[in-house]
Amino acid sequence: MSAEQSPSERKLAELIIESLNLEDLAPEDIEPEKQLFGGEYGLDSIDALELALAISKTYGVQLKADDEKNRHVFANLRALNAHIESLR
Amino acid sequence: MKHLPLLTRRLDELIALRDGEAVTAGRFIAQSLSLAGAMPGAGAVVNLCQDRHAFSVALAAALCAGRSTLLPANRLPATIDDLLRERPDSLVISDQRIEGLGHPQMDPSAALAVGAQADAVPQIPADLLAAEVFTSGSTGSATRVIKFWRTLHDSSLINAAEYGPGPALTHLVATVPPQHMWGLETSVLLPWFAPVTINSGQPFFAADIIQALSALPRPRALVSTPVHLRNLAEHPDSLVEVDRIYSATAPLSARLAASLEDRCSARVTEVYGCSEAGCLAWREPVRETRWRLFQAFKLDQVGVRYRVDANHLPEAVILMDRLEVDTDGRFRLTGRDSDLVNIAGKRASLADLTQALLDIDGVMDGVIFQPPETGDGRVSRLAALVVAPRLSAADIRRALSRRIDPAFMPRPLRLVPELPRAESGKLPRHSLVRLYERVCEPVG
Repeated sequence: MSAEQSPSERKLAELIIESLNLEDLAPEDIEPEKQLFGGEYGLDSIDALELALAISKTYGVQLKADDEKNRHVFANLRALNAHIESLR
Repeated sequence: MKHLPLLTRRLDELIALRDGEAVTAGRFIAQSLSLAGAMPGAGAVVNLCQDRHAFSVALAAALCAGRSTLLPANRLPATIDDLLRERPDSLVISDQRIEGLGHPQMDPSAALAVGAQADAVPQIPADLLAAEVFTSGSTGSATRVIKFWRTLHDSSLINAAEYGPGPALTHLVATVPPQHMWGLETSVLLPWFAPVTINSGQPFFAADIIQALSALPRPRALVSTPVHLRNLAEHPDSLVEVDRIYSATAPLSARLAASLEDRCSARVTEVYGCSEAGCLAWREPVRETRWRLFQAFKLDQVGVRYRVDANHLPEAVILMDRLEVDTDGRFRLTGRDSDLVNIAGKRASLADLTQALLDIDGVMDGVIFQPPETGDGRVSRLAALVVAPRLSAADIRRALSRRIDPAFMPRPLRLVPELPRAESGKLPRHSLVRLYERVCEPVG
Protein backbone atom coordinates (compact mmCIF):
# COMPACT_ATOMS: atom_id res chain seq x y z
CA MET A 1 0.00 0.00 0.00
CA SER A 2 1.28 3.41 -0.95
CA ALA A 3 1.66 6.32 1.43
CA GLU A 4 0.91 8.61 -1.52
CA GLN A 5 -2.60 9.92 -1.98
CA SER A 6 -4.45 8.80 -5.09
CA PRO A 7 -6.25 11.58 -7.02
CA SER A 8 -9.62 10.69 -5.45
CA GLU A 9 -8.06 10.50 -1.97
CA ARG A 10 -6.58 13.94 -2.58
CA LYS A 11 -10.01 15.28 -3.46
CA LEU A 12 -11.49 13.79 -0.29
CA ALA A 13 -8.61 15.21 1.78
CA GLU A 14 -9.40 18.65 0.35
CA LEU A 15 -13.05 18.21 1.34
CA ILE A 16 -12.02 17.16 4.88
CA ILE A 17 -9.78 20.23 5.30
CA GLU A 18 -12.41 22.56 3.90
CA SER A 19 -15.48 21.18 5.67
CA LEU A 20 -13.78 20.88 9.06
CA ASN A 21 -11.92 24.20 8.86
CA LEU A 22 -8.60 22.45 9.46
CA GLU A 23 -6.77 25.52 8.38
CA ASP A 24 -3.40 24.54 9.78
CA LEU A 25 -3.35 21.31 7.80
CA ALA A 26 -2.77 21.01 4.06
CA PRO A 27 -4.52 18.25 2.05
CA GLU A 28 -1.20 16.48 1.49
CA ASP A 29 -0.64 16.34 5.28
CA ILE A 30 -3.39 13.73 5.63
CA GLU A 31 -1.61 10.43 5.29
CA PRO A 32 -3.86 7.85 3.60
CA GLU A 33 -3.38 5.13 6.21
CA LYS A 34 -3.02 7.20 9.35
CA GLN A 35 -5.85 7.18 11.91
CA LEU A 36 -8.27 9.95 10.95
CA PHE A 37 -10.43 10.28 14.08
CA GLY A 38 -9.25 10.35 17.69
CA GLY A 39 -5.59 10.61 16.71
CA GLU A 40 -3.21 13.47 16.18
CA TYR A 41 -5.38 15.23 13.61
CA GLY A 42 -7.57 16.05 16.60
CA LEU A 43 -10.81 14.98 14.92
CA ASP A 44 -13.73 13.79 17.04
CA SER A 45 -17.26 12.51 16.54
CA ILE A 46 -18.60 16.02 15.89
CA ASP A 47 -16.21 16.20 12.94
CA ALA A 48 -17.52 12.85 11.74
CA LEU A 49 -21.00 14.40 11.59
CA GLU A 50 -19.77 17.48 9.73
CA LEU A 51 -17.84 15.33 7.32
CA ALA A 52 -20.80 13.01 6.67
CA LEU A 53 -22.87 16.06 5.75
CA ALA A 54 -20.19 17.41 3.42
CA ILE A 55 -19.83 13.98 1.81
CA SER A 56 -23.58 13.69 1.27
CA LYS A 57 -23.63 17.11 -0.42
CA THR A 58 -20.54 16.53 -2.55
CA TYR A 59 -20.85 12.87 -3.50
CA GLY A 60 -24.59 12.27 -2.98
CA VAL A 61 -23.70 9.36 -0.68
CA GLN A 62 -25.29 8.75 2.76
CA LEU A 63 -23.01 7.48 5.51
CA LYS A 64 -24.65 5.43 8.22
CA ALA A 65 -23.37 4.46 11.64
CA ASP A 66 -25.42 1.29 11.80
CA ASP A 67 -23.18 -0.11 9.11
CA GLU A 68 -21.09 -2.87 10.69
CA LYS A 69 -18.10 -1.73 8.72
CA ASN A 70 -18.47 1.76 10.17
CA ARG A 71 -15.45 1.66 12.43
CA HIS A 72 -13.34 0.41 9.57
CA VAL A 73 -14.85 2.90 7.12
CA PHE A 74 -13.76 5.88 9.20
CA ALA A 75 -10.39 4.42 10.14
CA ASN A 76 -8.37 6.47 7.66
CA LEU A 77 -8.54 8.48 4.46
CA ARG A 78 -8.05 5.43 2.26
CA ALA A 79 -10.80 3.36 3.87
CA LEU A 80 -13.25 6.27 3.83
CA ASN A 81 -12.50 7.01 0.19
CA ALA A 82 -12.93 3.35 -0.78
CA HIS A 83 -16.27 3.24 1.05
CA ILE A 84 -17.54 6.35 -0.74
CA GLU A 85 -16.42 4.93 -4.10
CA SER A 86 -18.27 1.68 -3.33
CA LEU A 87 -21.52 3.56 -2.63
CA ARG A 88 -21.45 5.76 -5.72
CA MET B 1 -38.40 6.04 55.64
CA LYS B 2 -40.20 7.58 52.67
CA HIS B 3 -40.41 5.54 49.47
CA LEU B 4 -41.18 6.64 45.91
CA PRO B 5 -42.20 4.36 43.02
CA LEU B 6 -39.68 3.26 40.38
CA LEU B 7 -42.16 4.35 37.73
CA THR B 8 -45.69 5.68 37.37
CA ARG B 9 -46.63 4.00 34.07
CA ARG B 10 -49.37 1.36 33.98
CA LEU B 11 -47.79 -2.11 33.88
CA ASP B 12 -49.28 -2.92 30.47
CA GLU B 13 -48.05 0.31 28.85
CA LEU B 14 -45.25 0.30 26.31
CA ILE B 15 -42.05 1.67 27.84
CA ALA B 16 -39.48 0.73 25.20
CA LEU B 17 -38.97 -0.61 21.71
CA ARG B 18 -35.82 -2.68 21.63
CA ASP B 19 -34.78 -3.53 18.08
CA GLY B 20 -38.47 -3.34 17.20
CA GLU B 21 -39.56 -5.58 20.09
CA ALA B 22 -42.18 -4.03 22.41
CA VAL B 23 -41.37 -3.98 26.14
CA THR B 24 -44.15 -3.15 28.62
CA ALA B 25 -43.52 -1.46 31.97
CA GLY B 26 -44.33 -4.77 33.71
CA ARG B 27 -41.77 -6.67 31.66
CA PHE B 28 -39.21 -3.89 32.17
CA ILE B 29 -39.64 -4.30 35.95
CA ALA B 30 -39.30 -8.10 35.72
CA GLN B 31 -36.08 -7.68 33.71
CA SER B 32 -34.74 -5.14 36.21
CA LEU B 33 -35.51 -7.37 39.21
CA SER B 34 -33.88 -10.32 37.45
CA LEU B 35 -30.70 -8.31 36.86
CA ALA B 36 -30.80 -6.91 40.42
CA GLY B 37 -30.86 -10.48 41.77
CA ALA B 38 -27.93 -11.56 39.60
CA MET B 39 -25.56 -8.67 40.38
CA PRO B 40 -22.59 -9.81 42.47
CA GLY B 41 -21.12 -7.71 45.28
CA ALA B 42 -22.62 -4.71 47.00
CA GLY B 43 -20.73 -1.68 45.61
CA ALA B 44 -21.84 0.90 43.09
CA VAL B 45 -22.72 0.00 39.50
CA VAL B 46 -20.83 1.53 36.56
CA ASN B 47 -23.49 1.49 33.86
CA LEU B 48 -21.81 1.56 30.44
CA CYS B 49 -24.66 0.03 28.42
CA GLN B 50 -25.03 1.61 24.97
CA ASP B 51 -28.40 0.16 24.10
CA ARG B 52 -30.83 2.58 25.79
CA HIS B 53 -33.18 -0.14 27.04
CA ALA B 54 -30.25 -2.14 28.47
CA PHE B 55 -29.04 1.04 30.18
CA SER B 56 -32.51 1.69 31.58
CA VAL B 57 -32.82 -1.89 32.95
CA ALA B 58 -29.35 -1.70 34.54
CA LEU B 59 -30.21 1.64 36.19
CA ALA B 60 -33.52 0.28 37.52
CA ALA B 61 -31.77 -2.90 38.72
CA ALA B 62 -29.25 -0.84 40.70
CA LEU B 63 -32.09 1.18 42.26
CA CYS B 64 -34.00 -2.00 43.19
CA ALA B 65 -30.82 -3.41 44.76
CA GLY B 66 -30.20 -0.16 46.68
CA ARG B 67 -26.94 0.48 44.81
CA SER B 68 -25.71 3.75 43.38
CA THR B 69 -25.04 4.07 39.64
CA LEU B 70 -21.80 5.74 38.53
CA LEU B 71 -22.00 7.56 35.21
CA PRO B 72 -18.53 8.36 33.85
CA ALA B 73 -18.07 11.32 31.49
CA ASN B 74 -17.19 8.99 28.59
CA ARG B 75 -16.56 5.33 27.81
CA LEU B 76 -12.80 5.62 27.27
CA PRO B 77 -10.99 2.79 29.09
CA ALA B 78 -8.64 5.34 30.76
CA THR B 79 -11.60 7.28 32.22
CA ILE B 80 -13.25 4.11 33.51
CA ASP B 81 -9.99 2.73 34.92
CA ASP B 82 -9.50 5.99 36.86
CA LEU B 83 -13.01 5.70 38.26
CA LEU B 84 -12.51 2.04 39.23
CA ARG B 85 -9.21 2.84 40.95
CA GLU B 86 -11.18 5.14 43.28
CA ARG B 87 -14.14 2.76 43.60
CA PRO B 88 -12.61 -0.72 43.30
CA ASP B 89 -15.69 -2.54 44.65
CA SER B 90 -17.85 -1.27 41.77
CA LEU B 91 -19.60 -3.59 39.33
CA VAL B 92 -19.22 -2.77 35.62
CA ILE B 93 -22.31 -3.57 33.53
CA SER B 94 -21.90 -3.26 29.78
CA ASP B 95 -23.82 -4.73 26.87
CA GLN B 96 -20.78 -4.46 24.61
CA ARG B 97 -17.43 -5.68 25.86
CA ILE B 98 -15.02 -2.81 26.41
CA GLU B 99 -11.52 -3.79 25.32
CA GLY B 100 -8.58 -2.90 27.50
CA LEU B 101 -10.52 -2.55 30.74
CA GLY B 102 -8.74 -4.16 33.70
CA HIS B 103 -11.96 -5.06 35.56
CA PRO B 104 -14.61 -7.78 35.15
CA GLN B 105 -17.67 -6.75 33.12
CA MET B 106 -21.18 -8.07 33.64
CA ASP B 107 -23.28 -8.68 30.52
CA PRO B 108 -27.00 -7.89 31.15
CA SER B 109 -28.32 -9.97 28.24
CA ALA B 110 -29.78 -12.84 30.35
CA ALA B 111 -32.00 -10.37 32.23
CA LEU B 112 -32.97 -8.64 28.98
CA ALA B 113 -34.31 -11.96 27.69
CA VAL B 114 -36.82 -12.21 30.56
CA GLY B 115 -40.33 -12.21 29.10
CA ALA B 116 -42.38 -12.38 32.31
CA GLN B 117 -44.45 -9.45 33.56
CA ALA B 118 -44.05 -8.07 37.08
CA ASP B 119 -47.34 -7.39 38.89
CA ALA B 120 -46.13 -4.63 41.23
CA VAL B 121 -43.99 -1.50 40.98
CA PRO B 122 -40.86 -1.54 43.20
CA GLN B 123 -40.74 1.20 45.83
CA ILE B 124 -37.37 2.94 46.14
CA PRO B 125 -36.21 4.81 49.28
CA ALA B 126 -36.50 8.54 48.54
CA ASP B 127 -33.10 9.27 50.10
CA LEU B 128 -31.24 6.46 48.28
CA LEU B 129 -28.08 7.74 46.58
CA ALA B 130 -29.29 6.86 43.07
CA ALA B 131 -26.65 8.20 40.73
CA GLU B 132 -23.26 9.86 40.70
CA VAL B 133 -22.75 11.78 37.49
CA PHE B 134 -19.18 12.62 36.53
CA THR B 135 -18.92 15.63 34.25
CA SER B 136 -15.94 15.80 31.97
CA GLY B 137 -13.06 17.87 33.22
CA SER B 138 -10.74 19.35 30.61
CA THR B 139 -7.71 17.31 31.50
CA GLY B 140 -9.13 14.31 33.27
CA SER B 141 -10.17 15.72 36.64
CA ALA B 142 -13.90 15.00 36.62
CA THR B 143 -16.36 16.59 39.04
CA ARG B 144 -18.98 14.44 40.75
CA VAL B 145 -22.65 15.41 41.00
CA ILE B 146 -24.85 13.27 43.25
CA LYS B 147 -28.52 12.49 42.64
CA PHE B 148 -30.82 11.07 45.28
CA TRP B 149 -33.79 9.03 44.07
CA ARG B 150 -36.14 11.80 45.26
CA THR B 151 -34.39 14.26 42.94
CA LEU B 152 -34.56 11.98 39.87
CA HIS B 153 -38.15 10.97 40.61
CA ASP B 154 -39.44 14.52 41.15
CA SER B 155 -37.45 16.10 38.32
CA SER B 156 -38.87 13.52 35.91
CA LEU B 157 -42.43 14.44 36.87
CA ILE B 158 -41.52 18.14 36.56
CA ASN B 159 -39.93 17.57 33.12
CA ALA B 160 -42.99 15.67 31.92
CA ALA B 161 -45.28 18.50 33.02
CA GLU B 162 -43.10 21.34 31.72
CA TYR B 163 -42.04 20.08 28.30
CA GLY B 164 -43.21 16.48 27.94
CA PRO B 165 -44.88 15.54 24.67
CA GLY B 166 -48.37 15.42 26.22
CA PRO B 167 -51.01 12.76 26.90
CA ALA B 168 -50.78 10.79 23.63
CA LEU B 169 -48.27 7.92 23.71
CA THR B 170 -45.20 9.31 21.95
CA HIS B 171 -42.34 7.35 20.40
CA LEU B 172 -39.01 8.95 21.26
CA VAL B 173 -35.67 8.70 19.47
CA ALA B 174 -32.53 10.16 21.07
CA THR B 175 -29.10 10.93 19.64
CA VAL B 176 -27.56 11.66 23.04
CA PRO B 177 -25.92 9.03 25.25
CA PRO B 178 -27.99 7.80 28.23
CA GLN B 179 -25.01 8.44 30.56
CA HIS B 180 -25.14 12.21 29.96
CA MET B 181 -27.63 14.18 32.14
CA TRP B 182 -29.67 15.44 29.15
CA GLY B 183 -29.93 11.93 27.76
CA LEU B 184 -30.61 10.43 31.20
CA GLU B 185 -33.46 12.81 32.03
CA THR B 186 -35.17 12.55 28.65
CA SER B 187 -34.43 9.19 27.07
CA VAL B 188 -34.23 7.06 30.23
CA LEU B 189 -36.29 8.64 33.00
CA LEU B 190 -39.07 10.35 31.01
CA PRO B 191 -40.40 6.96 29.76
CA TRP B 192 -40.66 5.82 33.41
CA PHE B 193 -42.99 8.70 34.30
CA ALA B 194 -44.67 9.97 31.12
CA PRO B 195 -46.48 8.33 28.18
CA VAL B 196 -43.28 7.94 26.20
CA THR B 197 -41.90 4.84 24.49
CA ILE B 198 -38.16 5.02 23.98
CA ASN B 199 -36.43 3.59 20.94
CA SER B 200 -33.40 1.69 22.21
CA GLY B 201 -30.93 2.85 19.55
CA GLN B 202 -28.68 5.88 19.35
CA PRO B 203 -28.75 7.09 15.74
CA PHE B 204 -25.79 9.26 14.81
CA PHE B 205 -25.74 10.47 11.21
CA ALA B 206 -28.71 12.28 9.65
CA ALA B 207 -29.53 9.20 7.54
CA ASP B 208 -29.63 7.07 10.72
CA ILE B 209 -31.93 9.53 12.50
CA ILE B 210 -34.33 9.68 9.55
CA GLN B 211 -34.40 5.89 9.30
CA ALA B 212 -35.05 5.43 13.04
CA LEU B 213 -37.88 8.01 13.10
CA SER B 214 -39.51 6.77 9.89
CA ALA B 215 -39.91 3.31 11.41
CA LEU B 216 -42.05 4.65 14.28
CA PRO B 217 -45.75 5.54 14.44
CA ARG B 218 -46.77 9.12 15.23
CA PRO B 219 -46.72 11.07 17.41
CA ARG B 220 -42.95 10.82 17.50
CA ALA B 221 -40.26 12.99 19.04
CA LEU B 222 -36.53 13.50 18.75
CA VAL B 223 -34.17 14.38 21.63
CA SER B 224 -30.91 15.79 20.35
CA THR B 225 -28.32 18.57 20.34
CA PRO B 226 -27.72 21.53 18.00
CA VAL B 227 -24.84 19.68 16.34
CA HIS B 228 -26.94 16.69 15.31
CA LEU B 229 -29.89 18.92 14.45
CA ARG B 230 -27.89 21.22 12.20
CA ASN B 231 -26.68 18.13 10.41
CA LEU B 232 -30.25 16.92 10.03
CA ALA B 233 -31.55 20.32 8.85
CA GLU B 234 -28.89 20.54 6.14
CA HIS B 235 -29.41 17.00 4.93
CA PRO B 236 -30.04 17.19 1.19
CA ASP B 237 -32.67 14.45 1.03
CA SER B 238 -36.24 14.89 2.19
CA LEU B 239 -36.71 14.68 5.95
CA VAL B 240 -39.22 12.90 8.11
CA GLU B 241 -42.24 14.41 9.89
CA VAL B 242 -41.60 14.72 13.63
CA ASP B 243 -44.08 16.05 16.16
CA ARG B 244 -41.66 17.35 18.76
CA ILE B 245 -37.93 18.06 18.62
CA TYR B 246 -36.00 18.76 21.82
CA SER B 247 -32.55 20.31 21.93
CA ALA B 248 -30.14 21.02 24.79
CA THR B 249 -26.41 21.20 25.69
CA ALA B 250 -25.62 24.28 23.51
CA PRO B 251 -27.52 27.28 22.14
CA LEU B 252 -29.91 26.50 19.27
CA SER B 253 -30.28 29.39 16.83
CA ALA B 254 -33.74 30.62 15.87
CA ARG B 255 -32.79 30.10 12.24
CA LEU B 256 -31.91 26.43 12.74
CA ALA B 257 -35.04 25.87 14.83
CA ALA B 258 -37.17 27.49 12.12
CA SER B 259 -35.61 25.34 9.43
CA LEU B 260 -36.41 22.20 11.47
CA GLU B 261 -39.97 23.33 12.14
CA ASP B 262 -40.36 23.90 8.42
CA ARG B 263 -38.69 20.73 7.12
CA CYS B 264 -39.98 18.30 9.78
CA SER B 265 -43.33 19.96 10.61
CA ALA B 266 -42.10 19.79 14.20
CA ARG B 267 -42.53 21.98 17.24
CA VAL B 268 -38.98 22.70 18.42
CA THR B 269 -38.38 23.13 22.15
CA GLU B 270 -35.04 24.05 23.63
CA VAL B 271 -34.30 23.04 27.20
CA TYR B 272 -31.78 24.67 29.53
CA GLY B 273 -30.17 22.98 32.47
CA CYS B 274 -26.93 21.82 34.04
CA SER B 275 -25.72 18.55 35.54
CA GLU B 276 -26.14 19.89 39.09
CA ALA B 277 -29.77 21.05 38.80
CA GLY B 278 -31.05 19.08 35.82
CA CYS B 279 -33.42 20.66 33.30
CA LEU B 280 -34.76 23.96 34.64
CA ALA B 281 -36.09 26.16 31.83
CA TRP B 282 -37.42 25.96 28.27
CA ARG B 283 -38.18 28.15 25.29
CA GLU B 284 -39.29 27.80 21.69
CA PRO B 285 -36.50 29.57 19.80
CA VAL B 286 -38.65 30.28 16.74
CA ARG B 287 -41.13 32.29 18.79
CA GLU B 288 -39.21 33.65 21.79
CA THR B 289 -35.69 34.56 22.88
CA ARG B 290 -36.39 34.47 26.59
CA TRP B 291 -36.39 31.36 28.75
CA ARG B 292 -39.28 30.23 30.96
CA LEU B 293 -38.12 28.93 34.32
CA PHE B 294 -39.86 25.71 35.40
CA GLN B 295 -42.52 26.46 38.05
CA ALA B 296 -40.83 24.22 40.61
CA PHE B 297 -37.66 26.35 40.55
CA LYS B 298 -36.83 29.73 41.97
CA LEU B 299 -34.05 32.03 40.90
CA ASP B 300 -32.04 34.37 43.17
CA GLN B 301 -29.30 36.78 42.33
CA VAL B 302 -26.07 36.31 44.29
CA GLY B 303 -23.64 39.06 43.33
CA VAL B 304 -23.17 38.81 39.58
CA ARG B 305 -24.34 35.19 39.46
CA TYR B 306 -27.69 33.49 39.77
CA ARG B 307 -28.64 30.63 42.02
CA VAL B 308 -31.47 28.16 41.39
CA ASP B 309 -33.22 26.15 44.04
CA ALA B 310 -36.12 23.71 44.13
CA ASN B 311 -37.63 21.42 46.75
CA HIS B 312 -36.32 18.28 45.06
CA LEU B 313 -32.69 19.46 44.95
CA PRO B 314 -30.41 18.65 47.90
CA GLU B 315 -28.98 22.17 47.75
CA ALA B 316 -29.17 25.39 45.74
CA VAL B 317 -27.02 25.49 42.59
CA ILE B 318 -25.02 28.49 41.36
CA LEU B 319 -25.36 28.72 37.58
CA MET B 320 -22.19 29.08 35.49
CA ASP B 321 -24.01 31.05 32.82
CA ARG B 322 -24.64 34.77 33.09
CA LEU B 323 -28.34 35.63 33.12
CA GLU B 324 -30.40 38.75 32.46
CA VAL B 325 -33.66 38.32 34.35
CA ASP B 326 -36.72 40.42 33.57
CA THR B 327 -39.32 41.45 36.15
CA ASP B 328 -41.71 38.78 34.84
CA GLY B 329 -39.11 36.14 35.71
CA ARG B 330 -38.18 35.19 32.15
CA PHE B 331 -34.51 35.40 31.33
CA ARG B 332 -31.85 35.59 28.64
CA LEU B 333 -28.52 33.79 28.70
CA THR B 334 -25.72 36.27 28.06
CA GLY B 335 -22.58 34.15 28.25
CA ARG B 336 -20.46 32.09 30.55
CA ASP B 337 -17.82 32.79 33.11
CA SER B 338 -14.81 33.29 30.94
CA ASP B 339 -12.67 30.40 32.19
CA LEU B 340 -15.33 27.76 31.63
CA VAL B 341 -16.23 26.61 28.14
CA ASN B 342 -18.74 24.06 26.93
CA ILE B 343 -17.99 22.39 23.61
CA ALA B 344 -20.41 19.78 22.34
CA GLY B 345 -21.77 19.21 25.84
CA LYS B 346 -18.35 18.79 27.43
CA ARG B 347 -17.08 21.26 29.98
CA ALA B 348 -13.55 22.50 30.30
CA SER B 349 -11.53 25.12 32.09
CA LEU B 350 -9.43 27.24 29.75
CA ALA B 351 -6.85 27.59 32.51
CA ASP B 352 -6.51 23.78 32.71
CA LEU B 353 -6.25 23.47 28.94
CA THR B 354 -3.65 26.24 28.73
CA GLN B 355 -1.67 24.50 31.48
CA ALA B 356 -1.69 21.29 29.42
CA LEU B 357 -0.28 23.31 26.50
CA LEU B 358 2.41 24.92 28.64
CA ASP B 359 3.41 21.49 30.03
CA ILE B 360 4.63 20.45 26.56
CA ASP B 361 8.39 20.37 26.32
CA GLY B 362 9.51 23.20 24.02
CA VAL B 363 6.48 25.44 24.52
CA MET B 364 7.76 28.78 25.87
CA ASP B 365 4.43 30.54 26.17
CA GLY B 366 0.93 29.96 24.92
CA VAL B 367 -2.76 30.33 25.49
CA ILE B 368 -5.91 28.40 24.62
CA PHE B 369 -8.98 30.60 24.39
CA GLN B 370 -12.41 30.96 22.85
CA PRO B 371 -12.34 33.19 19.78
CA PRO B 372 -15.22 35.60 19.17
CA GLU B 373 -18.42 33.76 18.12
CA THR B 374 -19.10 33.56 14.39
CA GLY B 375 -22.79 32.78 15.02
CA ASP B 376 -23.23 30.42 12.07
CA GLY B 377 -24.49 27.54 14.20
CA ARG B 378 -21.37 25.42 13.93
CA VAL B 379 -19.63 24.07 17.00
CA SER B 380 -17.19 26.84 17.86
CA ARG B 381 -13.82 25.33 18.53
CA LEU B 382 -11.13 26.77 20.74
CA ALA B 383 -8.05 28.51 19.35
CA ALA B 384 -4.43 28.48 20.49
CA LEU B 385 -1.56 30.90 20.02
CA VAL B 386 1.75 29.33 20.92
CA VAL B 387 5.34 30.52 21.27
CA ALA B 388 7.55 27.49 20.56
CA PRO B 389 10.51 28.29 18.29
CA ARG B 390 11.74 24.68 18.11
CA LEU B 391 8.37 23.01 17.44
CA SER B 392 5.95 22.78 14.53
CA ALA B 393 2.17 23.10 14.86
CA ALA B 394 1.93 19.35 14.13
CA ASP B 395 4.35 18.56 17.01
CA ILE B 396 2.20 20.56 19.39
CA ARG B 397 -1.05 19.02 18.12
CA ARG B 398 0.41 15.54 18.59
CA ALA B 399 1.53 16.31 22.15
CA LEU B 400 -1.80 17.95 23.03
CA SER B 401 -3.85 15.09 21.65
CA ARG B 402 -2.33 12.86 24.34
CA ARG B 403 -3.35 15.28 27.09
CA ILE B 404 -6.79 16.66 26.24
CA ASP B 405 -10.14 15.51 24.89
CA PRO B 406 -10.41 15.94 21.08
CA ALA B 407 -13.43 18.25 21.56
CA PHE B 408 -11.09 20.82 23.09
CA MET B 409 -8.28 20.53 20.55
CA PRO B 410 -7.62 24.10 19.50
CA ARG B 411 -8.04 24.85 15.85
CA PRO B 412 -6.62 26.95 14.57
CA LEU B 413 -3.39 26.47 16.47
CA ARG B 414 -0.90 29.12 15.38
CA LEU B 415 2.76 29.68 16.19
CA VAL B 416 3.54 33.30 17.01
CA PRO B 417 6.84 35.00 17.99
CA GLU B 418 5.35 36.28 21.23
CA LEU B 419 2.05 36.84 23.04
CA PRO B 420 0.81 40.42 23.63
CA ARG B 421 1.28 40.29 27.38
CA ALA B 422 0.86 43.45 29.43
CA GLU B 423 3.65 44.53 31.77
CA SER B 424 1.85 42.76 34.60
CA GLY B 425 2.20 39.52 32.63
CA LYS B 426 -1.55 39.41 32.05
CA LEU B 427 -2.94 38.75 28.62
CA PRO B 428 -5.70 41.31 27.90
CA ARG B 429 -8.56 39.77 25.95
CA HIS B 430 -8.70 42.61 23.39
CA SER B 431 -4.97 42.30 22.56
CA LEU B 432 -5.35 38.56 22.25
CA VAL B 433 -8.32 38.85 19.90
CA ARG B 434 -6.47 41.46 17.80
CA LEU B 435 -3.45 39.15 17.39
CA TYR B 436 -5.75 36.21 16.68
CA GLU B 437 -7.56 38.12 13.94
CA ARG B 438 -4.24 39.14 12.42
CA VAL B 439 -2.77 35.62 12.26
CA CYS B 440 -5.97 33.68 11.53
CA GLU B 441 -7.94 34.60 8.46
CA PRO B 442 -11.67 34.66 9.08
CA VAL B 443 -13.22 31.26 8.45
CA GLY B 444 -15.67 30.75 5.58
